[in-house]
Amino acid sequence: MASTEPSRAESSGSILRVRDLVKNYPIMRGVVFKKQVGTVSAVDGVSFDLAPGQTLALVGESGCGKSTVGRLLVGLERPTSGSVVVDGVDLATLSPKQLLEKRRDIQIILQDPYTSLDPRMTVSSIIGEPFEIHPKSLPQGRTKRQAVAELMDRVGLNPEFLSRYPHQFSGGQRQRIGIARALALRPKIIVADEPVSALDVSIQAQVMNLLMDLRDDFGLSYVFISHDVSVVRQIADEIAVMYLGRVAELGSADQLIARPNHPYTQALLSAVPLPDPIVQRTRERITLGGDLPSPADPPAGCRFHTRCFKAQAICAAEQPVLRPVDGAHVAACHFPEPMYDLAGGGSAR
Amino acid sequence: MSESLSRPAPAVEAALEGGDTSAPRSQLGDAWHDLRHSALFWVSAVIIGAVLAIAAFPNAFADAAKTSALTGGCDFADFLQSPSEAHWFGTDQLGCDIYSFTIFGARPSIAVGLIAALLTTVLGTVVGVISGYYGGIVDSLLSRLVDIFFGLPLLLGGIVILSALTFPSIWGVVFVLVILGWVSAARLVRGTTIEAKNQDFVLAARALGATNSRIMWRHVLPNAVGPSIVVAVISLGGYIGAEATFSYLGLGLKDPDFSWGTMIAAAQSSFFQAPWTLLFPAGFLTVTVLAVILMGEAVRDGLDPKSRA
Repeated sequence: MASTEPSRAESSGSILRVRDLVKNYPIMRGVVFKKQVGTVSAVDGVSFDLAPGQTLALVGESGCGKSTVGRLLVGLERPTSGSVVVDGVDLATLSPKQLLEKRRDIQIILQDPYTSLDPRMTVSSIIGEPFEIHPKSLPQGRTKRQAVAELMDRVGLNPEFLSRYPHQFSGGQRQRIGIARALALRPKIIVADEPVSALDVSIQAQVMNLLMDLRDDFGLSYVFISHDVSVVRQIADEIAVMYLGRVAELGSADQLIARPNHPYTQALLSAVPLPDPIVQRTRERITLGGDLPSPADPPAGCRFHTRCFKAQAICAAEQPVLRPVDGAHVAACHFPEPMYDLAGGGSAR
Repeated sequence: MSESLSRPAPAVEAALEGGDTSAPRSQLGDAWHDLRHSALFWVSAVIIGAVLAIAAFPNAFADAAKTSALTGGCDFADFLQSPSEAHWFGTDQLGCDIYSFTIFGARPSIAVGLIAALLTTVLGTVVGVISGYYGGIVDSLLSRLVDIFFGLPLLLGGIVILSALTFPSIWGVVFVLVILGWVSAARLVRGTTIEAKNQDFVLAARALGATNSRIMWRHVLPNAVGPSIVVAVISLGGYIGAEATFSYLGLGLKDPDFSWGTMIAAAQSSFFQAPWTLLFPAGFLTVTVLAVILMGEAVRDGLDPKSRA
């Protein structure tokens, strides 16, 4: 099971609050005299809350804007509009110096362990860099070297390999280095951007277990970004399904997987392989027609209507808002209707 | 929060005391591992080592007194003698010992090449990293500047500058080579910088709150500078040759300074009577340039195994 704790956080008790987050990228043309000829709407009005110690998963296919949300959260990109409130402080109101300080609270684990570590630096320089940038984060009475060795030990790396280079490690070990780096500042929130999708399936489980152990030990909150529902269901307390920059459906992991209401979520879940081969062979899969529309020219109304098997005239005309379908479980659909048992029932793993 | 980070585990203590016993290798270490087995590398290394020794300690190889008529080094009676026991490389029109001149001529030739290669690489790297890292208007301005200098032909530009201005000893040639040579390093480093700055590890550093200068010098530069070091070694050979060219044209070193280039210039009137006046300085020059270029190629192969044919 994903969690036994109350699934929906009180808004006041949230460590991370995101409201109406929008990110547009201008499309420029011209070499000397650049002219804006359009906008790519990567993220369009995303809101959610994250309670301390909880994990919220952002799920969706490539290009749905989930990674952009992650980068907006850690301040790698500036939002076009909307707010990111970390532990009661709106990032947009901070001076550069205050923002630097605030970064200690929210860190990111990047997807690709092969490109996210500087190949010219030793492991001890990589994991020690956070302490050079934030000397105050170095634990009391520890040298940088000791602190790095302890972090390595904590993420399951042999601390004897302090002076090795990234290319001398395997993919899973390299991702552990990335996790140690994100952990060094003792953040309250970690944004994990597809942390296991570049790894072998056998290694994925080990890294997922490590992430869950660390969450429990340090009281971390995760924003877990993934395209893979079967990975997400292991760790998430809540799931937000994204499509073309918008949240299609948001709810507790158990509810959302057991009773998806949005047709896109239903299609997504019906694609998750089931462990039972007989059930897998006989079940009905929802296949979506067409390709993901370009975010430079998103469909009017419901952004999903061009591929939706339930689409009616209203879907092309009117944008559906997130409406409760079952308590805190919300879906942005004009015709929400639960489907049951698409991904092998509500029980995870 | 748990206590996990406040207790040093036994494994941690052991590691901090014992350290890693297996040999970790950096990328330079890997390059060295490959270079050790390269015959090309060893041949050029021995030649370069010998030339550097001659340039650094010419007094160990020849007598400085023999390189000046003022100190009795040249005897007009001995002019244009062929190589002999007294004069290993023969003598020139003034009866000077060519061996001594060749040995003492190494230092200015090598010095010009080394200083020019160092300065072009440093200047080109700084401009290239700034241009590639910041992009936008900074990049546009610096790139146009690079284009302007790239349009100046080395030989013509050098002749114009050296005819118009006078510099003490080797500095005129160094100035010309740096002014006209830094642009190729800048272009190269700009490209590798753009490649490096888009890597995820730069994103990771930025998420930690690293400043631009930290990212540029700690992360981007070390990953962008490799190819320009190879080019610096190869261009060192070119600069030694260029110094000889300018000196041959009478625009480089001026009397009483001399180098292999000025010796080749002086030999042109006596070449048919006494070929050794040309062959020895020209031979040293050619072998040195060749060794440097071969070294550059060996180092490139070592640093980047993908470039191997």
